[in-house]
Amino acid sequence: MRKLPSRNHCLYALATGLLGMILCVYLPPLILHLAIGPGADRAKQGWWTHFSGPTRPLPVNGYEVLLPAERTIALNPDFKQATSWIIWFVPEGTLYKIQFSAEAVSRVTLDGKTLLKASPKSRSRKVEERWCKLTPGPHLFRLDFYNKDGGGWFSIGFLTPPLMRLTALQNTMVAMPNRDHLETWWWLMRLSRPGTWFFGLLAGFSLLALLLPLAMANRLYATIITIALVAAPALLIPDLSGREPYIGPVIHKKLQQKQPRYVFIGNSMLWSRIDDSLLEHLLGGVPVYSIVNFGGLSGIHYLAMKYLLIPSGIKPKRVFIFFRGITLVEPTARTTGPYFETLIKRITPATDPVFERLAHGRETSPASAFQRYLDTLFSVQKNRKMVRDAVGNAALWLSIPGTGQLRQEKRNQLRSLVNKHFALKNVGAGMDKESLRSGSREILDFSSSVAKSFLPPILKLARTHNFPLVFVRVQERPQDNGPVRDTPEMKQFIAELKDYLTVNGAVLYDFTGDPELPLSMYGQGDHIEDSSLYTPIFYDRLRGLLQ
Amino acid sequence: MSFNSLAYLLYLPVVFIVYWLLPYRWQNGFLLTASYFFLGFIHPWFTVLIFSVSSVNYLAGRALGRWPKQRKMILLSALVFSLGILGYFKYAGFFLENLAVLLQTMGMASFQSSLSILLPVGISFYTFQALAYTIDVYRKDVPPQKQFIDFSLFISFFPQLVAGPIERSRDLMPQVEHRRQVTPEMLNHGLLLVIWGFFKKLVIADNTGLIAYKVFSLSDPGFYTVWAGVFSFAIQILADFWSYTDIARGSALLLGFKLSRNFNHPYFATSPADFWRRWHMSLSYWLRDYIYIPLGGSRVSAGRATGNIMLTFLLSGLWHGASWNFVFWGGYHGLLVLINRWFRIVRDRLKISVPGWFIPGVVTGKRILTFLLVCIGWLMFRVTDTNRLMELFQLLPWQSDRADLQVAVYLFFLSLLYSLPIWFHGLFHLHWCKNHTMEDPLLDIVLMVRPLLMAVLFLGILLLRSPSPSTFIYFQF
Repeated sequence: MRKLPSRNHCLYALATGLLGMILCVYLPPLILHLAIGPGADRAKQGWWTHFSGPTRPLPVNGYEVLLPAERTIALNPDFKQATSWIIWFVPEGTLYKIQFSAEAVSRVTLDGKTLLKASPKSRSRKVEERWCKLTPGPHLFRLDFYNKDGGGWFSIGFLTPPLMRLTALQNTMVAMPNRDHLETWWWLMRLSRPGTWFFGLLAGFSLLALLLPLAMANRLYATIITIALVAAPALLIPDLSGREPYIGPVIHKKLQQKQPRYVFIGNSMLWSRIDDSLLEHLLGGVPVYSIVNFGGLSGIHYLAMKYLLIPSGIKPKRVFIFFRGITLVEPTARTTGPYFETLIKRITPATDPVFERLAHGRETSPASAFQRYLDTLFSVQKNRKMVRDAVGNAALWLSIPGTGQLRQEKRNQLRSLVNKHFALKNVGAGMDKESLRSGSREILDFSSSVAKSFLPPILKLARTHNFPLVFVRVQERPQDNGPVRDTPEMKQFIAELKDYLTVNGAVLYDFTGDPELPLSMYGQGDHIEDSSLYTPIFYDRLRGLLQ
Repeated sequence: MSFNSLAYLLYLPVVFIVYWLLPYRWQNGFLLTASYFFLGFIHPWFTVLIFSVSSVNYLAGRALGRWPKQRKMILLSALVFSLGILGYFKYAGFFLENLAVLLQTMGMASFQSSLSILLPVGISFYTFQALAYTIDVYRKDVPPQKQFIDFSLFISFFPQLVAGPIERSRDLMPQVEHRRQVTPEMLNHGLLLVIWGFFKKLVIADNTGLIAYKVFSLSDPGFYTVWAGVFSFAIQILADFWSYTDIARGSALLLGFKLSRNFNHPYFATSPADFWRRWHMSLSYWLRDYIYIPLGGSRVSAGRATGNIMLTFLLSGLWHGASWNFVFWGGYHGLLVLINRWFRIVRDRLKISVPGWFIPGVVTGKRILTFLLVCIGWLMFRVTDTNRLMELFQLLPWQSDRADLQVAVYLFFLSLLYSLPIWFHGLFHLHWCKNHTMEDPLLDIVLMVRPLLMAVLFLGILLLRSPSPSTFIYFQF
C-alpha cells in the first residue's frame, strides 16, 4: 500500500472541494446580480423570442421578436421551435405560484433550473403548476417550445401575493435580457446546482478519506465537519419549490357546503366508474362526493380519510372505498416517487406517523428521516429518474445510433417494442402473473399481511368517527371477453378479507365476475370507458346500502 | 443481516467505534459477540449451528494435537459431523426428491417428499473454512488453536461469514491471535472498498439483475432476448458476488484485518482454467488443495487426471446448490477445462506458435471466447428447472424475429452501460499490472484522486441505484 502524502496535499484536496462548492453556491446569484440584471434592457418589456426550425422552405432559418409580457404566446406556424427569455425583477422575497400550459413539448426554466415541463402525454392535466420561493431581484426565465407540426401556443401565469391572483407579469417588473453570453450564463447557472452537490461531496470525502485518518486524535471533530460539509449545500441552496400547499381546507369547505350523504374515496378506478351527478340523480337528489387521488392506493386512501374527510366535520351515512386486487394490504405500494411525494404533501398538513411507519417501514429511524430531508432538498428522486432515463435513452441511442427525426422515431418505436415485449401477458414461466400484477404470494396470505397494512387504522378511524365503511372491489379487465375468475389463492384472500371486514363492522362488495361488466365497457387497462354506464349498475347492485 | 441493509450501515460504525475503544484483550470477545449478533439478526437459530460447527472442529483440532495415534479417527469424525450438517441442511431435500423419482422410475413404492429445511445462511462457507482448519491441523500445516474464542472468531468473523471469502487458518488465524494495527492507509482503503462494493451491488448488480429477471420471466422468450438476459445475468452475478467480497474486505480492513481476494477480473480470463483462477478464488483454491491434489491432481494417469478434474468441478457445482442445474454447470466447466487442457497438450506436441505481432489479437480472441463459454454456463446456473433449461437451449437464432433481435440489442447495451465501471476497472487493471506489481490499481490510485472517486461512486449510488434492490445471490449457497 502506498504511503499517504503530506498534510498539505490533503488540505489542497479539501480546499478544492470547498472552493468549488462555495463557488457553485454563489454562482447563480452572482450571475443574476452582476451580469443578467445590469445587462437587462428595461425599455424592452417582454419575451425575447427566437423562432427556428422552418416547416417549409423559407428564406430564413429563424427570426427573433420581442413579444409582449402576456400570458399566452403563439408560435408562428412556419416554425417548429421557439425559445423565449425574460427577466423578472421580483419585488418581494416570498412564495410564488407559476402555472404553465402548452400545446406541445415545452419546458420552463428559472435561473437555469427546470421548473415545469409539459408534453403531449401530460396534456390531459392541462395546467402544470409549481410553487417556488424567490428572492428579491432579477430572475431569468426561459421557455422552450417544440411542436413537430409547427405552430401552437404556450401560456404562463404567475400567482403573486398577497391575493395570489393569476396574472401576467407586469411590464414594469420585466425586461429583455442582453443576448450577449446569455446561453453561457444560463448554462453556468444550470450546472451550478449539480456542481454544488458534487463539490460538496468531494470536500466531504476529502475529509473522510484523507484528513480523517491523519487527524486520528481529532476524529470526532473531523466526522462532525464531514457531515456538516456534505449537508451544507442543502442548507445553503434550498430547493426552488416550496412545500406543496395542503389542499385540505378547500376540500373541507366543499364538503361542508355540499353535506354529502355518501362519500367515495379512491383513485382512477373510482373516477372512471362513478359519475357523481348521475348518482345523485338516481338517488333522488341525495348529495354524494368523490375524493379522487389519482394513482393512490390504501396509504393515500387512509390519508384522504384522515385529513380530507374527517376534519371537515361532516357526518356521511356511508363512506365507500374503491380498491383493486390485494392493494388494501399493500402498505408500501405507490407511496414513493416524485408524484406521490407531492400528492402526500397536498393531502396532509404534516408528516403522519402511522403513514410513515406503515408505508415506509423501517424508514422511521432518525437516519432515514435525515435521508428524506436530504432527498427533499436535493430532489434525489427527481434527479434519479432523470439519470436513469438518460441511461435508458443512451442504450436506445446505441441500439439505433444517429441523429434526425427518422432515427428518433425508430428509437421511440424500439422503446414501445421493449414495453410490449415485457407486457404482463408475456410473463409466465418464471413468475406468477398474479404476484406480478397484485403483489407477492406473501401478501396473498391475508392473515399475516393485514396487521402491517392500512386496513386496521382505516377501520379504527371509521369506528372513532362513526362512519360505516363499504369496501368496493372493482372488477379487473376481463380477458378475451370471458368472465373474470379469481385464482384459488385470490378467492381465499377475498374470503378472509370479507370475514375480517365483517368482524370490524365494515362491508365488502365484490364486482368481480359481474355479468354486466363485459370487456366492451372497459377503456384503458382496468378503467371503465364511460362512468355513466357503470354508475347505474353500481346503484343497482348497492341499492340496499344506498338507501 | 445483509450488507445492503440500513441495519448494516448502523451496525458497522457502532462495531468500529466500540471495537477500537476497547483494549486489545476484549476486542476478540467483542468481535465474536458482534459476529453472532450479525448472524442471529437473520435467524437466532443459525448461531446454534455455527457454534456447534466451531466447537466440534475446535475440539477436533485440540484432540489431533493431544492424541496423535487416533488422528485419522478424529479427522474422520470431524469431517462426518461437518459434512453431515452441511449435507442435511443443504442436500437432504434434494436427495429425498431424487430418491422418490428414482423409486418411481424403477416401479417401486415411492413417497412424496415433504421435507422443508431452512437453509442456514453461510453454511457452505463456514463449514468449508472449519474443515480446512481441521485438515491443516491433521496435516500439521498449522498448530491446533488453543483459545476457543479466537477459533470461534476465525470461523464466524462477520465480514466474511455469509458469503466468504473462505479464509485459511494460516492467513486469518495469526491476525486473530495478534494485536491488530490499523493504519490510515488501511482505513482509507477500507472505506474505498466498501463504497466501491456498494456501487457494484446497488448500481450494477441490481440494475442488470432486474433486466435478467424480466427476461427469464418471459413465458416465450426468443433466442436473442434469452442471450441478452444471460449477458445481464453474467454481469449481475459477478457484480453481486464481487461486491460482497469488497464490502467484506473493506469492513475487515476498518477493523484491522486483511482478507484474501476472491476475484481478479474473471471476465478477462484467457481460458476456462484461468477463469477459475480469477473467479471465487478462495473456493477454487480450497477445492484444489483439499480435493483435487489429494486425489492425485494431474500427476497421475491421463484417465485419472480427467476423472479428478471432473469430480472436482462436479463437487464445485454441487457446492453452489442442491439442484441438477448446478451439477450440470459444474460438469460443463469441468469439460471446458479438460478440452482446454487437451488443446494445450496438442498445441505443445505440434509445437504450434503464434508470431509475436499476432499475440495481442489471439489473447483478445481467447478472452472473448472464454467469456462466451462462461456465459453458456451461466444459463445453466440461472435456470433451475431442467425442462425449462432444455427449452431455452433448443432456441435457434432463425426462429426469432427481428423484433426479438432489436429488443435484445437494447437490453445488451443497457446492461453494458450499467456495467461499464467493471469493464473499465478490468481494462485499467490489465494495463496497470503490466508495469506494476500491486494487487489492485483501485487501491493504489493516486491519493488525490481517491476522494474524487469516492464522491463519484457515492453520487452514482444515489442516482443510479436500482428501484428493486435484491439480496445477494450467494446468500443462498
